[in-house]
Amino acid sequence: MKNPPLSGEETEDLAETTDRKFRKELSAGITSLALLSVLNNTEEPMYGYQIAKLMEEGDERQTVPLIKHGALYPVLRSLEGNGLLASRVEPSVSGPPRRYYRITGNGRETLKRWVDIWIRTCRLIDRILGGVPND
Amino acid sequence: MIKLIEDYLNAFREELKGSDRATVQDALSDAEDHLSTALDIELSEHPDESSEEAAKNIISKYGDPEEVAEHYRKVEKYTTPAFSGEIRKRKGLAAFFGIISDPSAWAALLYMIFSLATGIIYFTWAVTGFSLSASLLVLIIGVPLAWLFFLSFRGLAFVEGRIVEALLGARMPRRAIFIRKGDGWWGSIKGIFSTGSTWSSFIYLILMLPLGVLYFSVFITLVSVSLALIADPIFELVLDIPLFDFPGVWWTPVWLMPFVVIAGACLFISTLHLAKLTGKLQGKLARAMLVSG
Repeated sequence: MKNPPLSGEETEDLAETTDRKFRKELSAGITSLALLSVLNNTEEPMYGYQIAKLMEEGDERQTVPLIKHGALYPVLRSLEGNGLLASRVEPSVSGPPRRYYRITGNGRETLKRWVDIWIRTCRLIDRILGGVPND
Repeated sequence: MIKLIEDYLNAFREELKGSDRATVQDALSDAEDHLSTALDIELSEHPDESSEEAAKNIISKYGDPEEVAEHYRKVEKYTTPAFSGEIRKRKGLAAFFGIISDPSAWAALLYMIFSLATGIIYFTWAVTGFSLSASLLVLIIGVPLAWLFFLSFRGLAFVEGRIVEALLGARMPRRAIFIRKGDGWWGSIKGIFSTGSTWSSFIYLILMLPLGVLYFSVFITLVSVSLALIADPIFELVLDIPLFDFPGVWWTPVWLMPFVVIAGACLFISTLHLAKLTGKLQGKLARAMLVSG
């Protein structure tokens, strides 16, 4: 390290900012993949909050999810715009009408290809990370 | 609506400043809808949790206003309206005739023709609703009736927005505004009448009748005249129908016919240009009056 040493608080701040930036960059690509996959695995069409809940399942301890709920809605709409998802609006007993999303045939095809890309990316990263010792 | 969520929405609105109005409206509705749904479900599942605590947790999962706003901006780039993209720039004569291959001009022409029908429907509904509820306001039944009608005006405004985005390529809201629950019936009645966009939507619906009539007559006339000119040789030489029948029968000399056809084609092309231009202005009007952002 050639930089001047940082105080404890500064290091913490810096770590937090870089972590957040890294998380944001990571989540950008995987949100679409995760949404397609969640909707591919469910029989019933689902609305935004249900999808967000389902993505968190089995990850109860994590208070800050990697994919922020707010990021889901624009992505859902853009996936629908590209014909990978279809939706319908249904009135709800309480509150505003809800938009239920389901995956389309085109979406399933795309998901297959994306999963393939994802697996290859994972292998690459795993191979590279394999050289980094865990501490 | 609890204060934490209210504050979050205000911060979010602040972050979204400078984005497209329709995007802002969509993003805020998404957030408000999600947060209030999540809060309800969270509180019904864990009744011992305080609503402040639950709201804090839900908001942190929804993401910083800054972060979420950036997501919307990013996605917006990939989901522009169908006909909003600029087509290849051409110059001179090519630009003039090239419009024939521009789908947005055809779509705008279609909108102009349709606008008579939609204009009549909007106008009839808006005037009936307004006068019926205004005259019944002396009775208590007028209030809920007025509320229902104004709610339907918002619905119509949303539908018109979808048509405008599809045919004119102006970015319009992709989800309808909803009524905030938890404000009570008086709150929601007040809410709908105190929103500026409810009133401007109402005026827009009324305005669509004269505009629709104007668009329809102008464009139907232009299209039929240009088609008649283009088909002039067929009418005169095959079907034996003169070009003008009034104020006196007038037959086109044969040497003039090619020019008549060319004039008809030019008129048709100009009509497409006019439709595209009018469509742009109409899109601006719709964005100004139907979007609340």
